[in-house]
Amino acid sequence: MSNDPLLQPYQLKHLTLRNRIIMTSHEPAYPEEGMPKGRYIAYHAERAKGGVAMTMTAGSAAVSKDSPPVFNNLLVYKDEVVPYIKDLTDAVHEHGAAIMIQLTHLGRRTRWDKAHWLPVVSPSHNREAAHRAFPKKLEDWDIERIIKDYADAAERMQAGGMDGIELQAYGHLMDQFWSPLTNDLDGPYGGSLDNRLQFAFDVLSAIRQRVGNEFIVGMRYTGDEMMDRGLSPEEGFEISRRLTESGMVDFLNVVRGHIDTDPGLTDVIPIQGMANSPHLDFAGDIRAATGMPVFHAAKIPDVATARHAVASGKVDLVGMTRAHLTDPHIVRKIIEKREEQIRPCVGANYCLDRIYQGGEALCLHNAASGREQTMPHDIPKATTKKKFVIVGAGPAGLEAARVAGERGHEVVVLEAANVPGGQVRLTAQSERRKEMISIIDWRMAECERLGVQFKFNTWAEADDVEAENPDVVIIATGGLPHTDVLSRGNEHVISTWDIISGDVKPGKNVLVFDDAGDHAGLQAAEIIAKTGAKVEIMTPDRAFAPEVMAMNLVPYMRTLQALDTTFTVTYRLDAVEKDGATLKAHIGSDYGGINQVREYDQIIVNHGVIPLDDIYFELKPHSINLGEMSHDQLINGSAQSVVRNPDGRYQLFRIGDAVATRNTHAAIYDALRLVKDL
Amino acid sequence: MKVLVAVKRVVDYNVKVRVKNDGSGVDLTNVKMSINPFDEIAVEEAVRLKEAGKVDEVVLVSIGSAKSEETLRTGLAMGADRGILVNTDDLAVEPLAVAKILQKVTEKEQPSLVILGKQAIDDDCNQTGQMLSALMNWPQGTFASEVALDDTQVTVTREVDGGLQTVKLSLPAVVTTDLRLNEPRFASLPNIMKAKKKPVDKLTPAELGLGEGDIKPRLEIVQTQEPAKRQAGIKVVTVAELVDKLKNEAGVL
Amino acid sequence: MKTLLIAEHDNHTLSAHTAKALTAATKLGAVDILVLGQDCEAVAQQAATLAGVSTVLLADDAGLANQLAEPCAEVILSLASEYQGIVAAATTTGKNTLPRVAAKLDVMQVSDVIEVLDESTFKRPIYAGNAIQTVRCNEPIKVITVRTANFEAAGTGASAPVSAVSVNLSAALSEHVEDTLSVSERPELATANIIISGGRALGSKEQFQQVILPVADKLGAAVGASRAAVDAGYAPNDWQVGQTGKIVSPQLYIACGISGAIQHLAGMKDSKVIVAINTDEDAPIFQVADYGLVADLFEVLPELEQQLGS
Repeated sequence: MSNDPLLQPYQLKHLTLRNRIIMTSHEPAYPEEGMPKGRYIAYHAERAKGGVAMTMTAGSAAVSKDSPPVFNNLLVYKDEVVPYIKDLTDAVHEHGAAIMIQLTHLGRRTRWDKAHWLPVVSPSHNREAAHRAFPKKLEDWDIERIIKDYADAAERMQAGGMDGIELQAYGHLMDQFWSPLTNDLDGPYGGSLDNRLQFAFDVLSAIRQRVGNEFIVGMRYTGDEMMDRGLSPEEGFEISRRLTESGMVDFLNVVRGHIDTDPGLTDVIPIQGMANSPHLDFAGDIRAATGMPVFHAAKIPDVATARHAVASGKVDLVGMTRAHLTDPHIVRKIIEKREEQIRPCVGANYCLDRIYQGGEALCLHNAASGREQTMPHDIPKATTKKKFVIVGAGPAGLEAARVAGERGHEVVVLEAANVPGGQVRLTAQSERRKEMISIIDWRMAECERLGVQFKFNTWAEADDVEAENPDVVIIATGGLPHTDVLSRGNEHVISTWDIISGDVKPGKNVLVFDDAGDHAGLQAAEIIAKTGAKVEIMTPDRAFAPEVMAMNLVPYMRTLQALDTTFTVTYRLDAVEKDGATLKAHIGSDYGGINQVREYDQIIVNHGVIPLDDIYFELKPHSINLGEMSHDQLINGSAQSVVRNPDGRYQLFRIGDAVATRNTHAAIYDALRLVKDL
Repeated sequence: MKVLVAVKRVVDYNVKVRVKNDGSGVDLTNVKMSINPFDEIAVEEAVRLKEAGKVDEVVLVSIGSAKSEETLRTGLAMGADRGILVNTDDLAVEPLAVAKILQKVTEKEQPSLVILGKQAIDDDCNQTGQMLSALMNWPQGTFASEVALDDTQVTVTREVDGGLQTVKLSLPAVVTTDLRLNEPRFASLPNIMKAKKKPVDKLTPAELGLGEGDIKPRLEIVQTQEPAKRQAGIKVVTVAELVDKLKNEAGVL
Repeated sequence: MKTLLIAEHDNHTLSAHTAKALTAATKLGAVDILVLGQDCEAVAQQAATLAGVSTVLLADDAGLANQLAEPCAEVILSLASEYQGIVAAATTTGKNTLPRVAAKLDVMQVSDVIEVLDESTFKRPIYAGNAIQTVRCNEPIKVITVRTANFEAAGTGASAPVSAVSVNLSAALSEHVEDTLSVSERPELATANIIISGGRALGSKEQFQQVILPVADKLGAAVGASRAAVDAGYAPNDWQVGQTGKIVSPQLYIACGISGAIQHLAGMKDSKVIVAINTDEDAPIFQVADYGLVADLFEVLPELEQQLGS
């Protein structure tokens, strides 16, 4: 028996959990028609297989028809959900993990123009900034209806074999009752703290009447909204005590903060560059004050912090939720003393941001997460050993090298720079984003373990590749910044890379023309603004930096707004003229009729990269497949077998930005799905 | 003003070197090689002096096998203007031999300042800069943590045991770098590409007028061993025991 | 074989380095000590008491006041023909001066000697101590610097004669501006000989300061922190030791309340001696620690501070 505090079993009422690591409730947006089907089940089963003690599903499973999901959530107000829940709980139980689900009514935190087009409801008319719906103020029959909906949903979950449920009370309807900011009702549900809590206790009573006293019911709630006139920590502790004293609640899952705005949500669930485990001590205080079983998650990405959380008695069960998106096998690796092989969550928050923008949670650097039905987390060995030459040690090339190494192939990687990383290393130049380099460091460590050979400082030419006598050649050379987009004056502009790498010193009055809308534009703007320069970010789009997404935008905005950056949307930089030290920017608009001239001393164009593909085209005529990748085989998950040139000497493939500008996830997914079958 | 910077290709500082079983040296097969970190700082300093308008040209010189061209390219990607490779093939060149080669290159290039790393992280000798300075009969400012250059002299703040020492050297002079002098820049891909086109002159010691006898090794390496292994850790029970062990067993207090 | 040992001093006091370097030098043969400086007669007198010294040579000149390499090397070279060995401690002074002497003599120097096997065979560390090289030096004059930590100090009680050396320096190549000695300042993490680091178990910034800093000051140590401690705001960013912070390899690393996450270990595992203080006896830090103390750091550290004082 291990002495690791994380590996000690935990008894929650009748439920024995095999260790202390859980995934807290989250909705990866994988339901199909509101039901947890194959993809959903495979996702949770993989984590159960990986050793997690308990997985908590469905952030915000909807209990009522007037709580339509903003993205793709489970619809637990439907009776037909029960057999699907049964399939899900069976699959998780089969691997020895427990499973619970979170029930909620979103209240105002949704929209009326969805599902049944019912008005959204809340205990006040106050609109939530994030979802923008003006709510109907609840009346008595709404409240009665919703209380019954909760009880019905709880009963369905019990019938589906869930080990328990938790009720959501931060930002959703239950907390909208609690918080003085969002409750304008008069008694019995508004006014005093007693009245504001009445709804929660009515719901708990109704649920207990329905599911009995044994079934595990917990509360995931904010103990401090951290907002002027919001729920105070004093009230939070009082609520914690009352929940405890009610005897109706079996565990407290502690959250701190408010989620009605993107910045608020980001403080609750911090991302890259923000402090780790910022609310852990707070959760520990609640545990100390109540003596209740306490769960907590909020940027606990590493095993050491998780171990500390449990060992120091701050929590009973520690949530490593995003960490499990990156590596579903964390617990297995701890047990097998392979902690150093855990794929690290880098806090890029691609998972959460992708739910809103793209409709599914994906991990920036584990392309198999959420794709368990088609992508393996454990790469199977190949039947025939081949020689791979991979050109480029950015994310695409390193993932290809890692996967080929796992398959047992002989792998040589040629890299032009002295260090691996490509564009990820560039990104990691910014202090706030340096965690990104773990994407590279983890792959380098894995490649070393797998015997992959690296040749750095090697600007590979076709001869260098062919000299290795490869069976498979993968070109993952990425690209160079594309700034040649103006009608004239391209020679007067610089790229975001010039700024981020430090090659060009920031000017004093700078225009960042960003029509790629990705991180590079804002990252460069942030570096420049921090020098005290005047910065204007201009985009022809309706909104700036659309590819950066909501929570990732928060730290940028906090810096850029404080430094008085100007954001100009719907304008396009057409041309630049140099006039002495001044750059004259000719500005138009896609809407037409605009021709302005503005002056700057430095102009940056962010427009993605142009592939570095010379070597690919040089090798192409000598390859068996003439570079062709069968999309059908790629999607079906079978080995590439295109033969266009029987005299060719090797298969040749191109991945990542060497094909076209995309992002880190695309580069890694390209590599994984191609190489896993080679 | 011209600055000459000497750069050496060494085992990457992240690599944990392994001693060969037969005691003949360390195993360098397939090991990642990089520019010596102190030399990288030297290049950075020279490029910064150029960016500040105090220096017109930064010339790199590397001494070693043909592969040292990689190291020169790294420095060129950081912003140096051109490189000189003195190919000594597989000959083990000791600091004295390197200093003699650098003396010839210095006489040829006539720089006002030569900047070197204070030591290479492979042999850890910490000699070359001082030796070059002696051979040229130039002043030396070693272990620099700050360099201020003007037209006729360079002021060097040196990291010495117990603090800092500032010296003023009349030019031409030799400076060797310590870790805190600067943080070397990131060599970006566009600059790596540009560096491919920068000129690198290739010379041999003979072409510089040095015979085999001038640069042959003087020291004989008898054997190379693993350092004494870290003893399996022990648990102590009291603070007194800990202090005693640290003083009398480990000798670190 | 006659050997000249260069004294390490500050014009007033002979440093302990010299007695240790003397032990190494004695293995090469009879030893004279050369004191280079200004108004440093007292230093010569102290050197004369070291056991095994034949003669102390005193080169006292205004041009040697700051022991810059150029004039020191000039004086040493003027005496070199008398000797078959020239030795200095591998201090920044010795490292600065001796290669200049070796180059002028056209001999290869042997740096950082940790063991003298015989008068021409030496052991020295390479690759940051990851390998130990045995080298034979057949040069007519052995020029070596020695790591004094590896040699016992020679005894005292002798009274060797002190004789003055005439100094005729050529025009100065360099000029001393100032010395800034960092006596009160804590050393930098990257270069410190001793580091004491705190983890999340410290509980607060105040406790970190109250518990860690006094011990650090007692030890003349740099202060480090784990990422968890930095994230929790107990310690500033630039104290962070680990993969994403600073990589350190001091002589002594004391980890207090640090569990030993892989990321932290990556930053300090090459330290010469590692001490771990932690209440959790299964903390991974103990797997790399030379000395482990399973105890509450809040009790242990004040005690350690006291004991270091006595």
